[in-house]
Amino acid sequence: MSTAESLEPRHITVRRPVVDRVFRTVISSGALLSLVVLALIAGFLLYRGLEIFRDFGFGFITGEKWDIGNPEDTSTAVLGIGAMLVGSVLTAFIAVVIALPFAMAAALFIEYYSPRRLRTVLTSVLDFAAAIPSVIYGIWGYAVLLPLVESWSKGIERNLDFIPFIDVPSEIFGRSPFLAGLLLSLMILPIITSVAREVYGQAPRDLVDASYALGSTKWGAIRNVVLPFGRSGLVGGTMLGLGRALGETVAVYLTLNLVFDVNFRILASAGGNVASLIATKFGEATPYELKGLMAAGLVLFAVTLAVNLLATVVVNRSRRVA
Amino acid sequence: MDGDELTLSVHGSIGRGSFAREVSLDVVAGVPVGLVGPNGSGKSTLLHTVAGLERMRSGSVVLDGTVVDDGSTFLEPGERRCVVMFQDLRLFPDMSVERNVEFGPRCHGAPRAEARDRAVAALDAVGAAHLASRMPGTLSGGEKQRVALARALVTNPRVILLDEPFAAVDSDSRPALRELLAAALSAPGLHAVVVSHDPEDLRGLASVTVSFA
Amino acid sequence: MTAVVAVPVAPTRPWQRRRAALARNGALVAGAAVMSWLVNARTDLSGFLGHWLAFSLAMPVLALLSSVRSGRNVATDSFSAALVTVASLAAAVPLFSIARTVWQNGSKAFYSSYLTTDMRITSSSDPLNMGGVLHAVSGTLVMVALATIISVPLGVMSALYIVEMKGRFAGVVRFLTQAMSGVPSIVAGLFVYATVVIFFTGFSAWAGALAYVILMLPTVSRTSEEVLRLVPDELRAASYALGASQARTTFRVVLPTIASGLLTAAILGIARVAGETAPLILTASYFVATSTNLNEPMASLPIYIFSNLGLGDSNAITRAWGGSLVLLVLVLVLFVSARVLSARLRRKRL
Repeated sequence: MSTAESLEPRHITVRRPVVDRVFRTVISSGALLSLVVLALIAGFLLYRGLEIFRDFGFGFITGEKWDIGNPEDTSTAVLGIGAMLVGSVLTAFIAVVIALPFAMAAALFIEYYSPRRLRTVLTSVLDFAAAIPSVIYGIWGYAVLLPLVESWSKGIERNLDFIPFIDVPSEIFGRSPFLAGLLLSLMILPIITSVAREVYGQAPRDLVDASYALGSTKWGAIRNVVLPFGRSGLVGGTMLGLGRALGETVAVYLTLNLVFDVNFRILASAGGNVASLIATKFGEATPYELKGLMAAGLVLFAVTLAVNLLATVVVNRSRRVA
Repeated sequence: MDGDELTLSVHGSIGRGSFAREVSLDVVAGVPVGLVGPNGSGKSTLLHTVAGLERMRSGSVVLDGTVVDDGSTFLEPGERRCVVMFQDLRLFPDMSVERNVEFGPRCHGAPRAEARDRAVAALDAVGAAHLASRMPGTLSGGEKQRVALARALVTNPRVILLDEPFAAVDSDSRPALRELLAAALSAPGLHAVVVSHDPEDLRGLASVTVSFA
Repeated sequence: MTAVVAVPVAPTRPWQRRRAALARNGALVAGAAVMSWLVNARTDLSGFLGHWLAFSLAMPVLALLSSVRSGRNVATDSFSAALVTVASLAAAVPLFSIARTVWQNGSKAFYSSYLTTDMRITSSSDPLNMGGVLHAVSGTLVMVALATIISVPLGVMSALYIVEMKGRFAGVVRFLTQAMSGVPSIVAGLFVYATVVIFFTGFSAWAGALAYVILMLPTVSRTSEEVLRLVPDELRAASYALGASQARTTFRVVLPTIASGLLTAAILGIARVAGETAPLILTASYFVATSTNLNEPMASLPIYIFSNLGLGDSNAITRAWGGSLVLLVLVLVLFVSARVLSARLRRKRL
């Protein structure tokens, strides 16, 4: 507020009361703190992991081996998270491929098919599923899903072993990317469903009605109005799920066999992801290896942050359109 | 503008978008002014501008010789001693009646005991002393109106702005309320503006009626 | 003159689900059930999963066959309706399995003293009637409480900044807080390790609570923002018109109106972190005794489960299931109370 020229009648220029200036300062600093934290996370991981990036350069991202060599001599160490990154992407990809159709079905069912009473029950169940701790998904995946998946895998491999992704020469199934991906798909299903439900629910009612009025069936209205309308929101929700799957630690740790080789055979008992690498190696890491884990954490942070920022933009845009 | 020490004058353009209007209004203390106009004619915008909830687009609001809003100067609502009795009353739902009435004096720095005394007196003056401990949600329309009036008057305002004061009141309680309001608005030194879409509402309340279109 | 003949017509009720449609759906379900029973009797498929799989395949097929006479559009319609129904119900199946398994296995660990003793003098392979989960429960509660005390004010502040102050960086704050909600929990743990654990406290309850704060903040601030937007501007204007400052309006009028909403925000934040394992491995670590020393390592339910699972002994694994049951019940309680509170806020109809 600027000072006014002195005119008739007399002016007084007021600033906000002191309490309000204090109030606004406190609130602003509190709000900006969360931004500071975000910057600090990136800064500190970069600071701690810098030496690793200097020593290995791009090879840290692409290298398959994670070998500390002689603990006394850091120059003998070979650290690379290539295999783990591939594992992260592979399991997350499997998770999304499995979860997406079910999430779409659940969202459509809840919004357009379900009787009212079942709708509230299903919504609550799915929301609760999002709140179930990942360690419980992990223990359940290990105890219940693992034997099932193992026997399914045998059957699938026996019949489809001409497909390179499916073939498992070692005949060892168990804790495979498929199992981890399947478990992750259950964990991200509620996330994708709730975003999909929101965008499908916002589909313009008048267009849906218009399509009925023209003699369309319910499925016709959904296919021609609801699905196209919700496409970008669905993409955003899927990416949110992808971000969650990429960063999951414990559930993957418990259901995936950590092996430092790039493995595309989704039924074979070998794989890993960046997050479970950190959890696995953290306990007895040498100081140099610890820096490697920090660098791995930074890569994971950068990837998930990018995915999430993109997802946020997409979801927000689809909301604005609605 | 003749520098009259006891005039509220609003000259210039107010409101935004479809509510934008040119206004020119002078209110002399002790002479309540009625504003009549159809819905959407900008009456509420004018009240908000005088109270400091909205800014003038251009022009000025001058109260008792002091510029309170002219584009470069803006006095916060709290400093204007200018209260509004909203059409929908807006009693705070989570405070008791007494707390609602205390709220104004507390805002102006009165200690709790003094604020309570003033609230009790104000409630008494509008015949609502017995409602002090009730919650707003349990009151009838007429009772709420009395509480809202007490909440407005307790701050000893220089300006009181009433927006459709009879909107939420059934016809049986109107005469009593009208009498109460008429007495309140004629307080010395008080500028009063009463807004209604129905000229009949202003009978007995406003000495001057301005048509707003 | 023509005589007007009134023909009595029963009023139609198009808004009621027609009985024929209901009967048709019932017949579909029954048919699919019979088919799945037949398939299971004749093939390798068996058990709940086998029946479910056969039923899920039979439903859409039957729906298609039963409507194929009515033309292509109607057939597609009923086929997709059956498919959507079956697929969305299938999404709920694993959840019931999780609940059932956790209940069945977890209850085996529940001896009378399970909730009142810790593992101070008990080894995980000892009989199940010795030792318990008290240290883990108390550790989780202590760290969650600490994190709540820090993150709720901060989260509410950033919500106030966005909604009440409409600050210059409101958009940025909002955007980045949303992005922050996607930070993997292990990265939050790694960050606290790289700063607090290494330089200050070592493995400690403090460090665990700080990792929680990073994960809670986005949830709390997003939920608070949503409830703050429920407060009508009319209420704020009424307060300003009575001469209230923005600070007074916020603390005396706005926040009390949405008190239950803020409680919901806190609970959702707690539910977000209460089951987190990964960040605690790097911060609070594990401790076998009940402890309130914030500068020492502290047990928590997820780490109790995780470390017992790692031991591989059958009693230890049963203990892990017991811990899972306690954790699941804790999360359920949080979830239900958040639901109840937000329903109450909605009933208020601001």
